[in-house]
Amino acid sequence: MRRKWSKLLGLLLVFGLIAAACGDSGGDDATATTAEQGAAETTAAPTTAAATSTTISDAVTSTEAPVAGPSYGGRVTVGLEAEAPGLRPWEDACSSPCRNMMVNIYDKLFEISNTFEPVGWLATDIAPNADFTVWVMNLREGVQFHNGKDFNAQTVADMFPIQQTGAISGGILAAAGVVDIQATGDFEVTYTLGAGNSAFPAHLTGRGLGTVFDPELALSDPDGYAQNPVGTGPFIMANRDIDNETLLVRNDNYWMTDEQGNSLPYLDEIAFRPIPDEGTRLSSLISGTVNAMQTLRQGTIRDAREADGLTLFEFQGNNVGGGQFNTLVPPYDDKRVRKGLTHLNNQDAVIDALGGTGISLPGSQWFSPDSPWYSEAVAAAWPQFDIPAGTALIQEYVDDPARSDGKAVGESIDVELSCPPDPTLIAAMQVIEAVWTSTGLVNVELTQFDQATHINMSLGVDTGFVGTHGAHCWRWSSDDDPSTFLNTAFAAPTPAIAEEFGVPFSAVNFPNYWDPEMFGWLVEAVKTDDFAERYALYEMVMMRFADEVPVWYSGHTATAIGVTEGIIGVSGWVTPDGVLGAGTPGAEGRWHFVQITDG
Amino acid sequence: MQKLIAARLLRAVATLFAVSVLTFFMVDLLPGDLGDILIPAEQQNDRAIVEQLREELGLNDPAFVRYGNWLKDAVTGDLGESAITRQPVSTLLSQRLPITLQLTLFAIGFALIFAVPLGIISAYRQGRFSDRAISGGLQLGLSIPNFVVGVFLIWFFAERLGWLPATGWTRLTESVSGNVKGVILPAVSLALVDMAVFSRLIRADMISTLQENYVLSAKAKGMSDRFILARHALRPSSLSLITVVGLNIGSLLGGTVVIEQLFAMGGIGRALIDAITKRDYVVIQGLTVFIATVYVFINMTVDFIYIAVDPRIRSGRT
Repeated sequence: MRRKWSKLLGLLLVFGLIAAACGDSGGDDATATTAEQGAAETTAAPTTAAATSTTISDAVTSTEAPVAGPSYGGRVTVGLEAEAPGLRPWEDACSSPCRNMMVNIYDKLFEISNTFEPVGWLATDIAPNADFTVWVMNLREGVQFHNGKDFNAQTVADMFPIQQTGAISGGILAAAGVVDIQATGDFEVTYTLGAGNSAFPAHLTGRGLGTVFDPELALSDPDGYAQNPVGTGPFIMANRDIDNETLLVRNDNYWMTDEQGNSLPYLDEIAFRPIPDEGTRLSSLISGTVNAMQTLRQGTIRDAREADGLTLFEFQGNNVGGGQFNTLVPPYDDKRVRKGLTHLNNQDAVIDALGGTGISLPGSQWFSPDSPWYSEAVAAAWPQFDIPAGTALIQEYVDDPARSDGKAVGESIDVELSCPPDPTLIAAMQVIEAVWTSTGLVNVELTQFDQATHINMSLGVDTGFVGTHGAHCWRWSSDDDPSTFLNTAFAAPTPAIAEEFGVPFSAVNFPNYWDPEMFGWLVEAVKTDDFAERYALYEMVMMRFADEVPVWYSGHTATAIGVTEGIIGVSGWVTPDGVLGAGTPGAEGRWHFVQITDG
Repeated sequence: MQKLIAARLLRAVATLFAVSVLTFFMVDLLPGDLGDILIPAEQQNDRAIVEQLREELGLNDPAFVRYGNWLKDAVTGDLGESAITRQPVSTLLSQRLPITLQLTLFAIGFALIFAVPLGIISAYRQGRFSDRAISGGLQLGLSIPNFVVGVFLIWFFAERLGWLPATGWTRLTESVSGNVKGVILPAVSLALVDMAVFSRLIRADMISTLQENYVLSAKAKGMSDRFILARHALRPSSLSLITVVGLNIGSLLGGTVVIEQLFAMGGIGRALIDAITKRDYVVIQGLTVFIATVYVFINMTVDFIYIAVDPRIRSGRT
């Protein structure tokens, strides 16, 4: 018995010592093979090198220097902030980490260019009729799925019934107004919409409607598809070990080449590892445990900037953080309260608490200064941090005998300020709380709920979609066409209002802000494809926000992909027609242009 | 004897039943449900799709009906499947258990490797500087949360020295050395608290053992201190340690949540956290009941061992 006991202890000790003694630098073996293979297979094709940047244009054009040519082979291991529960574009909820996987397995019909325009990918072009109700799209020929099946117009038509019933794509189809999809030629698809939508191609850049999957397999094995997806993309699913590692291998039959005709992708393998803790994800990159990572946190970007030997691809984008007021609930139903509290939002201090000083731009609208939709006029009109102005507005409400919260004149207002329990978010909420309470007019209760509860409280299914939230931290917008999110985000917030006004209901009008005139502008904006007209309408919408303040802003959400030395081509991807892509929006990497060099 | 065993078994079944009921209804109290998770808020306009999904998942049934359905399958060994990944809970367990089990065994192993000698030295040098230094050090180890230890170990051994990977877990079938290297830092993070507990336990038991007549007799015979400590004192001083080690294996199996999250290891703890955030009831239920079963089983085994070795318990005199 004693001998067994000693053996067991000895074995554990030996294991530990051997492991420690044999430890190398902790890196994957990918980089070692790449340099050799690259040297053997080098051609004259130029590509791009990585560089740190803070804007899209900087990231993909200004600061990337040419290098010697494609270097084939190697493996990149990417640390993601979460696991992807399922990989079916029509069915599975999918955020940034999941999109990182999907975009390398599946191709989309269109992608977004660096000027935020939809540009052809599997589609070559698309054209509408006069009133934007019928769109005819042509597809690229010679594309095959990973299982050898051909991709053609019938594929897109056969995807339609699956998309209609999909938990994800069903709602997107409805929002886009698609009523029919027909194959009108071998490689020609005709979309019919219920109402004209000049921004329809923007929906084809999205996951729900634009991602191409094998409809036959999706029907025969929908559950299996979630973990063994089949697309036409540059990488093929090789092994899925949920919460540990998902391994994709090179699609040797990928249809796309680089501008010099070299086959894509360059890498042999990509592995995705979910590493939920921000700190250890960065440590994993610094130590070489992984050689790429994504982050959506300014604090991590700040720390990554200070680390040696990393290249960071930052993306400011249109995603803006802040908070929303429940405008159907007192006291937030009064503009004076909303505007007053917004004047009392010290954006710089909040951004600092989020770790974003020098990284995040303060927000004044749903579009960042990089965006073609950004408006200087709106930026000037947005209620700035101004304690006297904010206090005066709240004082006016507090002294109003007809105040909506039913409290006595002179009593402080009660505000519930809520956010998920992330340390930086809590710090940011504490900054806001400090200023609001300093007026002596606001009683703030800080609450924290997990992400799912936070969303469900705002969704408010049990309260007729009014929700049980007060002032909730939130994020809005994306780099898609504004119509894809604004038109649903500000339709009628409850079924009752929808019925009263004869307009669509939206469960995601979380601030419950209903403005029939403003909604009319949103509808008008998809009736024309004239940019100036559309810009003017969205500027009016954002000006209305600056006046009515259903939401408040902190800063634009900077995101980043970080890589170790020798990994290039992360942000410099182009479309099949040579159009520069959008880089790495939302820390989403397209790894088919990525290669590993020896520096 | 048989009555005692039957009573223990009955108590174990009642405990498991209570755990399953409490888990189910506590999760049911959380706002929102699986339907809200599977269909993101952006798609919730179409209530027909949401309702169809809720119906398919049985979410419209009363809670006690859903619990009854789960229980009916569970007693036949079918723990159901995840509504999100469609993976059977039994498969999930078979994939995740090796990770958590290995982590637990390594943590206990590391704890024992250091705790036993430290406890012996501390007892042997009772009241002297080395005893106070060891006790102080162990007290420190006991008071530092394991995730703080983990962060430090990652910084030092992965970032600074580059000896060990910061995160991740490699399956044994892929690489033995990769597997062992990956488990060292998280296991040491977990081991620190157990090491302190085990060591103090050994120290206390050994101090009392060293007062026994047979130890004094061995000393009188001129046996060396090392021989006496190893051959005569350690074994009788280890009985309570063995019991605590057994119980700690049970509690560690369900207590690695934070460390698995920190080190990005896809064990049972991480699966449980994921299931809770996604309101994946079946998985929460299955994993909780599994962890409870292991814990109850170990407790019960310890009880039976006591019954077997202690005549007072057998005869009902305690």
